[in-house]
Amino acid sequence: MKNIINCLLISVLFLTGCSRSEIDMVFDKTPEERMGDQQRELKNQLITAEYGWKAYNETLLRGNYGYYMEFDDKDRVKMLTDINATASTDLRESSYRVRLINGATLAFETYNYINLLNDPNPSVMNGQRGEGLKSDIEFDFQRATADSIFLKGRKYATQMLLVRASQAEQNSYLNGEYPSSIEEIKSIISLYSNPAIALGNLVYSFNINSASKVIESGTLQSDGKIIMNTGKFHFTLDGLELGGGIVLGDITIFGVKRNGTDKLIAYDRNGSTYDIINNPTPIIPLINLFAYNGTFKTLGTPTESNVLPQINVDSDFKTVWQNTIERFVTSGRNVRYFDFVLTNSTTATFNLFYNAGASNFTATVTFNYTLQDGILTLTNPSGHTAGNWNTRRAQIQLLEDFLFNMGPMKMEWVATSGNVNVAGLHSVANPNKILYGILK
Amino acid sequence: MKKIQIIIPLLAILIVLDGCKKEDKINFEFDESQEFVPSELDKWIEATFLNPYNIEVIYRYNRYKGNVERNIAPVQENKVKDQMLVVLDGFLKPYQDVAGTTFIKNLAPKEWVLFGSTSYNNDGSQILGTAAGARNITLYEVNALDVTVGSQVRRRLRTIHHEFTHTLQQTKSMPLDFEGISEGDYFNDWTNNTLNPQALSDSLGFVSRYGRSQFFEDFAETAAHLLVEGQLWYDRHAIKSNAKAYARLKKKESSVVTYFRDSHNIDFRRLQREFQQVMFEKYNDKTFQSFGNWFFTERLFDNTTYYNTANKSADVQSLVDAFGQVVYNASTTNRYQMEDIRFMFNPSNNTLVVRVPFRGTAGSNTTTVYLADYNFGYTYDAATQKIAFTKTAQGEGATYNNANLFLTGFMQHISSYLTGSPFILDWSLEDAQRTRLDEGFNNTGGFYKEGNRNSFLDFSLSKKTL
Repeated sequence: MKNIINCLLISVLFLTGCSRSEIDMVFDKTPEERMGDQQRELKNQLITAEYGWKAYNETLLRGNYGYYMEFDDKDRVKMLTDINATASTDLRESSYRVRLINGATLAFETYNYINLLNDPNPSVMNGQRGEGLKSDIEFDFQRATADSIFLKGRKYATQMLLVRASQAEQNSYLNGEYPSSIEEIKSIISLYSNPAIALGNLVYSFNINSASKVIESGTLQSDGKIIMNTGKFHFTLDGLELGGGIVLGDITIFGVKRNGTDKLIAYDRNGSTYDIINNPTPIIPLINLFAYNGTFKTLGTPTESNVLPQINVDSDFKTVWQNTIERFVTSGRNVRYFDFVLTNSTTATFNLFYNAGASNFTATVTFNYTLQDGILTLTNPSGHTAGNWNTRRAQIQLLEDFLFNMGPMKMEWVATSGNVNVAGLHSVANPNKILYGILK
Repeated sequence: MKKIQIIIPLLAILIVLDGCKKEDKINFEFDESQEFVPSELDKWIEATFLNPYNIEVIYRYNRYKGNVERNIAPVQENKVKDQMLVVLDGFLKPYQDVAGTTFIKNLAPKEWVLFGSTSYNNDGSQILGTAAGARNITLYEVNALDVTVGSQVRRRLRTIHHEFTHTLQQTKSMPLDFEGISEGDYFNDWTNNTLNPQALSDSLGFVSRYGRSQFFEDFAETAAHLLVEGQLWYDRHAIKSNAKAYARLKKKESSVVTYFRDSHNIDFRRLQREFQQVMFEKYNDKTFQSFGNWFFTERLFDNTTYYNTANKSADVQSLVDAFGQVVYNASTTNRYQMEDIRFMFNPSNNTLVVRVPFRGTAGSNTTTVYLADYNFGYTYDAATQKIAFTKTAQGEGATYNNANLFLTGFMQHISSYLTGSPFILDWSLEDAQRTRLDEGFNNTGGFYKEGNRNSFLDFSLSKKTL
């Protein structure tokens, strides 16, 4: 019995004893073979795009930047980009690799246009010292479709998208059509002073900032609330695209194209289009922007210019200002510019800057003010009976009379057909008295 | 029977224990950071650095080679070759020539990492270079490299040589005497602008503010400056402040030179000469190394130079001899003898007084040495090293009265030579074959006629001391 048991024991042991050379694996390949597959897969996708790629990447301090890129099997990449005029036509080559870090990573390893955005030297793109524009140069593979690759930046988690270009698109990029497309759309953008989109009974501002690559949109709801949204964009061969879209009420805009030679049209993912119109005044009320602690606290003529902006309505101020300038000239002096400043929550200052020969002077009068429901009332002028204001009394009297007799004023934009927005303080008692200028 | 009953189970246990030992480690290589398709640049690096020196150059961006949390821009490919040529010409080759191939192959850092931008510190400063344990050196701001600017190339090489000196210090300990030279004056907070300004640091006998941090760094800074900025720069630095600083700096120099010779069998002086030659020839560091710069601008040497101890061309010798004759014939009673001609330069107002000491050899007084002075002005151009003399008005007084004795002859032989056409300044004019590689190259310097290298005056130079 014991012998049989022992024999059985031994046989069982031999049968179930471990084979020394087997490694217990959960998948059917070694880790480096599996990872190698993902790496190979991404590289293969990149190099088999026959006509190259349209791409964009995101920055955290500004908007997005657009590219045309070509990857070859020798670890070389060529690109052009919408970062500046020469970069959009000079194809520049550098080294790239699909690395194996936590997964497959696309790394732009020697300096090319995309690295400008990340350069910590603040003078390169006017970015932040040590951070640049907060964008990436190494991107982790997220997912791919038949013609697109989605990537995420390793340091700032920024988005990068590559989409296969068509033959026609490649030709356009390589024949210098990118910069001309960018120039065209920029010039149409400059024709608008208050670009806007009307949706239902709301009007949304739609301000495209070509320098910061961001679109800002806002609207004044019927309940008095202001809703603002932003979206990052990059330039394309057709206009511009917003990688993450921009929300306007119920819709999300994904791109803007040219509509003829002087208009723009926006579109959403479904292909529905929305005209971009030019509103005569800004959508956001003046009182939301002009305050002692608001976006702007100064109204005036441009610094060192005594030229008032063009407006479509009459205002006595235009005549008063012109006469003041003439009186100064007669006295051998020149008016440089003026500033009306909401200095703090209770004090406002009117500064008249002038010169006599090579010396500059300022004549100042200070007011107390109240600002209630968009009505600004100036009281208690001081400082005008002394100093330069008093010394220049003969030249400045008309201006003083105008300012001291405005009474309560409504803060409102002034209609203009030029392309600067004009802020105005409209006397409630006398609509022809508007103290107006640009916001600084 | 019982034995077998015990043995079999024991055997079984042994089989189980031994046979079921699973391999606990999977053998694979995860680091593919150096796998890439080699480009022309990579092939050049392999041929120029990897094969001869066993040096790897990593220029492809690798976050883990710098401060991981920072943005550091990758290098521009077209700067890599320039930067590495600086390393080759200004570091590897001079050491290879002077200390031998085996020496540099053993001790040079094996991994060189290049980054395009600097690395920004929170305190407002930036990192330009780091070295870790002598095996690795990281160079930053390569994208800003401009090899046409000598001072830029020197700054980068100074970092490299500083770090390499640390390597040497780690293989053979630095000399004991060095530590004691500035003992008591070392100061940890060396970046403090109030407590350790440049002027203070200089006056205490330190080659740089960083050198003041501690003696180990001081040694590396001293060696690096001596090599890269050069002996002329070092001697000029030494006379900036006071006698104590001068003495200390010279002692430190001596300690460094001795250490290189005794501990590493390296001729430090030769290393200095090789380095200067490379900077001059390959990196166009001509103005910095020019004779005019050290004589007129930096004023490293005594402003007065002497004809007697100078090397001179045959034509100059004839002119001076002829003038000597004029002096002799000026008075048959006194038979004056020209003792020398002194060139007293004043770089602060670009004037030159040519002073002729003379003495009677006959007559009543044969002992007094009289002086005759002749006034000149000059223009000096640092970039071209051109100097042009003009005769200016004589002054009043005894020396000018004396000058009248020989005025005509002086004007004819000496003045006309000096003012006739411009000259070019340079070192070591006597032998046109001499270069910076030769010892004593900076011991003499002067000027030769523009367009005629064979007409020159080459003065013996005397460095100022404190």
